[in-house]
Amino acid sequence: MSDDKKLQEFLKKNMKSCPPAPNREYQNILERIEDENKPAISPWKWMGLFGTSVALGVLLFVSLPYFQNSKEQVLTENTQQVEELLQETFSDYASSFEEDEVL
Amino acid sequence: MSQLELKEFEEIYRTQASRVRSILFSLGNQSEVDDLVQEVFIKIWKSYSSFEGKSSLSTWVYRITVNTAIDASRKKKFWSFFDVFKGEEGVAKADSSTERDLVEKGLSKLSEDHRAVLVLSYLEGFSNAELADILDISEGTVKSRLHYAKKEFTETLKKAGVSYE
Repeated sequence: MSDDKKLQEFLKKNMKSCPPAPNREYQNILERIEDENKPAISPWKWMGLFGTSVALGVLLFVSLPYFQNSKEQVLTENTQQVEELLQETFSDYASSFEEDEVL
Repeated sequence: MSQLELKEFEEIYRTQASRVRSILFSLGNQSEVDDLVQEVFIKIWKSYSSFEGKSSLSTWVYRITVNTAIDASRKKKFWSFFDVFKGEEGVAKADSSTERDLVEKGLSKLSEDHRAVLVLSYLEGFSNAELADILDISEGTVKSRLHYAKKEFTETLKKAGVSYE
């Protein structure tokens, strides 16, 4: 027997036998092909997503000036409050200093 | 799918599925053979329109099969790197020394290209010319790969104290 023939028989003897195909293999293949042909997201869903994004963008654009105004208003109010507080503190301090001098 | 396409596809499945399954199994993809058979036929379905008929239909089908098997083996090899972290389970498996396990070990040591020519030639019975067509290489390359694959495989077996002669 040739060397190649011996190797062939040895391999055939020692390889596990291939399991049979599952019953519904062909049907499963067809189902997978049909699934792959379907778009992952339907056109209606794409349109919905696009519409929602546009609506959110418009909302943000419209509300931006409002946020900016309110931010400036808060800053102005805070600055006024700080100024008043400083004035009160310094006037108190100045008057007490004058009293000390008189004494 | 048109009825004509479906009929042709069914015919390819009917005539080639068992050979495709056998090739995938022999090329070392035993645990995922069912998934790979599906993958091969999906690829056939998708690329059937680009089949030019330069080779026979069966050669084209086997080329897709072998490429799918080699890709799957490479992926498996890449992920097997992480098996190191699995601990003793893998070691115990590698130490088992029945003849069948040693053959499996010897084949898995070969590169994907060498394993493919060895298995397709000795187990699946393809001639060198058919292999050259399927693997898209010259017959000289097939002979050379077969020579080195056989040599490496035989040496691995000898080291483990197994001989087929």
